[in-house]
Amino acid sequence: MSRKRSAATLGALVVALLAAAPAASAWHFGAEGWRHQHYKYPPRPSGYSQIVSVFGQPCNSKVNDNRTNWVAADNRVSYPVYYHYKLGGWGTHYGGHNRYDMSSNLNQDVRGHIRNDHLTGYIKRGIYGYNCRRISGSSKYSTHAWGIAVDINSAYEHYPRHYHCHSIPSSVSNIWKAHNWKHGADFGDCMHFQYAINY
Amino acid sequence: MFHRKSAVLAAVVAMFASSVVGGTVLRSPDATATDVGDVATNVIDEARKQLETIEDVTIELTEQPVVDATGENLILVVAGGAPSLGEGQALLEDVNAKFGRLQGLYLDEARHYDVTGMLVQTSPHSVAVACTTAEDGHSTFDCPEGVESVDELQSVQLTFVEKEAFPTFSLPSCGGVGLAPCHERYLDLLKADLGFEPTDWLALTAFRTKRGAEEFVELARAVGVTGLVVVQATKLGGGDVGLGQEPHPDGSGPLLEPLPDQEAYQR
Repeated sequence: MSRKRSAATLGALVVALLAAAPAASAWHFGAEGWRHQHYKYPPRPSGYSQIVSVFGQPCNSKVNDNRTNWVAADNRVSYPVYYHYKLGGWGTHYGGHNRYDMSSNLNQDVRGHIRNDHLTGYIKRGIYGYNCRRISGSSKYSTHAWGIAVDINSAYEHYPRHYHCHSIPSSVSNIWKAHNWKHGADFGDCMHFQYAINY
Repeated sequence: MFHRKSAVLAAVVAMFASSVVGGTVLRSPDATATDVGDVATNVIDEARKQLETIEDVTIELTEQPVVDATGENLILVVAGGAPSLGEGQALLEDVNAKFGRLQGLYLDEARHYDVTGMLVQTSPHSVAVACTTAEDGHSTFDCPEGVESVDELQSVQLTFVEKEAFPTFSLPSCGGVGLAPCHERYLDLLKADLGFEPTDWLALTAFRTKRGAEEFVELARAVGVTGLVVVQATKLGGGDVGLGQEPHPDGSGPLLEPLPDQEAYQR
């Protein structure tokens, strides 16, 4: 009887340990100290005038104050992404400066969530942020000219040939959307995320 | 029997605990930032209210006049040439597809440009950066698993080379992504005296400052457009080649007019 009881107890312990193993072994970025901060996000502007009101003129000297290096999973190249100082810089991961007027949006929160949810493998070649260019076939400046747009996976998501995403799953785009970024898939530009609407 | 039930119960409890710990605490660390989140939400709400008072009435400010820039000294970034208009348009479409919704290059005739110098990329294309690994075995940089280092792209820096001095320069091969200019493409586009073939159509875009050209080469590299040739040239005619898409050196916004001392910003 005593031997049976010991065996049952041992069995329970083994099963419990096996069941708990996934939690112990599953690694998440949070275990390294990363925390979502939601600190000082600028309001998401609607239309040209609000964009200028929040972020200044296109191509001004503040639009590329922040830089984060983003590794593409498919070619192992680290792409520099320059972006507006109000959209990042605060935080301890991915190039934070913690200047008083910076936020935690892109470098700390968006990228942190992508890594924490094990989605970095979906970020692929062709990654860039600020560039002083207009929208193709238009006289309007692109949101890239304010450093408030980031394109990822551009090698896989040519515009305007594809109207649905080939390489960016909703698990990735939902993270951007949850942090005020509009996904360009709404207007046939799957690679594109911008911190503005109605533009 | 009782102990068997206990064992099953223990296993179920352990699985539930595993789910809670793994799924909530680690995957959603926001839970520890509630206070910060509340403050941020208030700030955002306040800013949104302020935005509602701004009228969107200045859309005409986004309209820029087309500038032909005849007579100006410019920096041209050239992606390729074609002997006929039709082939030039096909080349342009092919190259511009890689720029997505961003404006890429323009098509113009080579006879509209008198080349006066060359700009050579002297900065390294990339450097290898180690994926620092923490003591627990996890990378502190988001490198793919099992990768020890990645190639980090570097800022593009162009150096001006006088037309007369150019023949002595040894150009890099076009094999490197984004190197400008590169040997094979240079021989395709330019004659020994740095002139374009006058009958060619060129896929190009122009800038008034070297920094503008450097930023565009960085963009082209990011989207996978390679083998660029960068020259300084006087524009003799032709149409829109994309001026107005570079930062003004004073940091105020885009550079929309010629600079009084423009050539100083090209060297």
